[in-house]
Amino acid sequence: MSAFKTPNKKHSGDFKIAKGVVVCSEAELFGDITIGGGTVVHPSAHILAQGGPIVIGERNLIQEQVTIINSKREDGSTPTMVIGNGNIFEVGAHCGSLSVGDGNTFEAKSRVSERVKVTDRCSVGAGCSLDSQETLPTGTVLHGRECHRYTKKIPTQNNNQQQLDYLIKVLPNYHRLTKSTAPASTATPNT
Amino acid sequence: MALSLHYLKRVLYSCSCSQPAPLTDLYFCRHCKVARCQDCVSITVDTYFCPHCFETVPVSEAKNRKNRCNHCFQCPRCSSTLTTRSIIVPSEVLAEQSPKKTESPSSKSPSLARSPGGTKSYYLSCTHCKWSTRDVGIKDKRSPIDFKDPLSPHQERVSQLVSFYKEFSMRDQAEREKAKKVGRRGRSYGGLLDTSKFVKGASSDSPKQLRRASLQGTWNKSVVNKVATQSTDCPDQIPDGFYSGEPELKKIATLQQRLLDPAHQPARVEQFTPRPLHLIGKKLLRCKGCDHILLKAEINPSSIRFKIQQIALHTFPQIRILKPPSLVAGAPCEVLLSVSNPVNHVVSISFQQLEPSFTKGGKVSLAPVSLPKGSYQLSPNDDMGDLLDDSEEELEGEKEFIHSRLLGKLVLKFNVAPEEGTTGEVKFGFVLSFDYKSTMELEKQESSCIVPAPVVVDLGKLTHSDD
Amino acid sequence: MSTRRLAFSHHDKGSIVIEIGRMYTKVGLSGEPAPRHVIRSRVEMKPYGALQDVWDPKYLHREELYLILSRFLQNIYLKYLMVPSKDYRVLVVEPLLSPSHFRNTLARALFNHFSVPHVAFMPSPLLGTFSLGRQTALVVDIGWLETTVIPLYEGVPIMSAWQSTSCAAKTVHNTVMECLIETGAITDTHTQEQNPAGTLGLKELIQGSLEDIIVSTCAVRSMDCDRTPPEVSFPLSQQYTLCLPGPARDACAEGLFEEGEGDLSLPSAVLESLLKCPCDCRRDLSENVLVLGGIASLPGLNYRLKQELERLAGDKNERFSAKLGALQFKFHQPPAHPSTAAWLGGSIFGTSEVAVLERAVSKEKFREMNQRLPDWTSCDPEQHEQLRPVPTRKLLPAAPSSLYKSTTKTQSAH
Repeated sequence: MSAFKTPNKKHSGDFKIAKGVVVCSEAELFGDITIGGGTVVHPSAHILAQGGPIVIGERNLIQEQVTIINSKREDGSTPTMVIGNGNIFEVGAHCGSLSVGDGNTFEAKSRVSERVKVTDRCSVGAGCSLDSQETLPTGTVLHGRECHRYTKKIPTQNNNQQQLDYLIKVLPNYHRLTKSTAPASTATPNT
Repeated sequence: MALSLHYLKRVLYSCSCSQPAPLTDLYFCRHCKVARCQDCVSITVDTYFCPHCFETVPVSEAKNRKNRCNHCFQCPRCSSTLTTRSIIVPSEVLAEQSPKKTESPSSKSPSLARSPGGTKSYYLSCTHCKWSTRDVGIKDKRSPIDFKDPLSPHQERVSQLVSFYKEFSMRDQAEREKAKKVGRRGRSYGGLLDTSKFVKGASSDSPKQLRRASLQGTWNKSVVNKVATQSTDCPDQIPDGFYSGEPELKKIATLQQRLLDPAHQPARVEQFTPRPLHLIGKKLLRCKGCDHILLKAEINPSSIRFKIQQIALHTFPQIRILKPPSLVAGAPCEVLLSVSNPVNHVVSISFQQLEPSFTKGGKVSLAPVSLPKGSYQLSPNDDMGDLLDDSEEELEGEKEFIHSRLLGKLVLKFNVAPEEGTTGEVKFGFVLSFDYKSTMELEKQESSCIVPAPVVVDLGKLTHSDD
Repeated sequence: MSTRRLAFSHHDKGSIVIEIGRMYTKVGLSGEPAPRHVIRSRVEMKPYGALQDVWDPKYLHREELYLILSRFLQNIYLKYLMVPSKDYRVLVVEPLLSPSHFRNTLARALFNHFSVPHVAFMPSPLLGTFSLGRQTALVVDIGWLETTVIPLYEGVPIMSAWQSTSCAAKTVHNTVMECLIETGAITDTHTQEQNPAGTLGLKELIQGSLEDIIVSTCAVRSMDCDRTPPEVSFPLSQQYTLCLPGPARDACAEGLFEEGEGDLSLPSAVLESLLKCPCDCRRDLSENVLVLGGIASLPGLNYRLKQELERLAGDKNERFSAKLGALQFKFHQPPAHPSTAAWLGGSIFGTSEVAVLERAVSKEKFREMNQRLPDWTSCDPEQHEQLRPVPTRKLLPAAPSSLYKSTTKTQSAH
């Protein structure tokens, strides 16, 4: 149960939110964050750029209780965390990976640590936790309690456009939104 | 009271076959007037239904479909249920348009859907492990129920063998019947009476051949050999790929995945096919003694109610340990047990000592216990009781052993004296006799009888033992 | 030809064919090319107990076996087969020498608890030949704990040539396990540390995945092979990956071909059995070898067995060469996976109502016999009389063959 967050309290830092992005003000944004167009950030999501900037691409769906965190590093380095386009972060997902490609799905309550590099069109299953130093090849699917994995030859396309359109239309009716900083760059991040 | 729920499994009632079981696992046959456990009932499948689409399947259809659902399929990779997805293929253009991923409920109206844009084609995909029929190259089907189980590759050969052996045994049987009729030393005059030889073309076997066949007692070897397999000089060797490259483990099926489909036992992931979902049966329980029905569920698969539910929980007074007492070896300890009334009329109970035979010749050691004497009456378990004016009628019971009374419950004091040197759990037992009033519809009269219920209570280990 | 109307000529539902193996149980209906389900031979003993092995040696000779078997069969009837037990006769595919207590308890459970009308017990090697359409074969049944070799000639098992050895699937498992503990390495994916497999105390984890490891990565090398397969990384769990060294992969079945102390190797057992057969039968038998059992599906096993047999038979230093030196060995491929070939034979046999009922015990008969099945090894003629009405027949559970008159001749081996 998330405590009721008063609006405007949780945002601190330097954001560059493009036009057409829906960011609920109940989401927690911290640090240097760039969010590309068409992305929707649900309330009670946490995007924490503690140890460096976070660049999120276009048409991503970041649902409730998602944590995207660029943790503080002991050695003082501030690497940029780059998340591509068209990703889905389902409820409760935790992503610490510094490099996420396009079209991935992070299912509910999945955890990806910072040592993992995620490429394109991967699917991290519900509850799966990934903590090893590796790069997931394109189209990898993880599922099950044991995190069985296999690579799909023809990775499934992540088609969340319908859902994004609907949310962009309906969310503003029910939530206060953080205004976009329009003149700032709407640059799509490097993937 | 909440604590007592933890100890439910510590109070074991004895079934008619002397098997101990918690009250929740017992059934009560009101004709035999005894408790029945899982092993004293005969269980059969009553109705068949699919666990995914909740379609009730009649018995004959279930047999034809080999107890599998027509519409629902199981993922060969992770055994979860597959969802049917449809895309619209335009009839004019061969290439796919932008796919509309609509989840069509796989049970209803599976007929061919024609929309103005084109025809719908279906494929199956797993939401858990993202496997889909497209991964193994199965073409999208026109209707969701077309994903049938492929026949076993050995089907033809097996059918050939089956028909051969069936005929073989029929002939064998017929010959032996003949031999029995005729007797070992008797002469067969059947040939004289056989007029078929005078009819042209009637019988293909001449009497001479028949006689030879009956002497040999078997068919010609040539017939038999037609069915026999030929052995090979060169059994299969290890495939070359074994030594050349590292096996792609992700492409090899695990044993569990293979056994999901015993007919094919696919060794590789590319050979996976969606399996039709296995049906579930609602059980029908019958008493073994009198064959009356003890448990019958409602036919509607989504309903969890029962048409007939003769469970012991509704008949026997339930005994619960209020809280575990501190047990000391050699000293008597007071144990509080609550007895609750399952019905909405007054029930009288009494306690007797367990027979020595119950201890199974010393295998189960029960601590000596002093039981409450006399008979007690339990107040009805009536929801209205609270709301009524307190017209408290005097309920029978020795005050000395009664700790307290609650609605429908009675808390009694038992005195247990664990023996010196008791290792393990301290258990004690008694027979709870209660009067059971049954209203049988046929008799249209109330008949009551005393039903004895042996109970064994497990109190746990000794808390303190003097060394 | 007059065919008398048989008493049971109603539409036959078929038989339930069940093979309760040491590890896996195959169950299904007769007439089908494969069992409907292949499940582990164990049952959850509700309401308290854990998974109970049906063949648990602790209860194998005790009264508790009745409860275990009842629960196990209950599970099969209600969850897998979903047919009323009263309506279907049962054909049990059992090993040739099955413990009497197990057979009797199984029969008791089927008759008393499930009211099955008829139960027939048939030996698995014999049924294996049904899947080939042959009546002559040398059946090598590689089970979990032991391998039995029995020659069948014209439908009659030559019992004096029965041979058994403990070189079986368990040997293969033990060999692989030892190899892994000694030479394997486990990588912790979190820390990227690699340790020898024996040190981390993960034996149980490896044991749990051993079956999968063998099925996915192992094979049986041929005698003249000089190549080594590459090593494999096998994920044991999310955290640990096992590195399987190459030599372990194709040396897994070496244990089957080594003579133990007082125990024959697999090829020796086959040859010993042939030696005990009448010399006229030997050629027919050696050219029709049928290998049953799940482990027979390991790639290269049959080929290696053939090589070993030929080497051993031809070796002048061994005892076999004089009588068996000239033999050729040919193998059969049944139309089923080797683990279900015996079941398939039962399925084929079970379609014939006449044949099964002839060899079956009915509920009433069982009661008359004091709830004890007659053992075919029993010398009590009365027991046999009670079972079979036809006086001329010897009680050997054989295929429908009328060559019984020649039984006595073939049985006098040596």
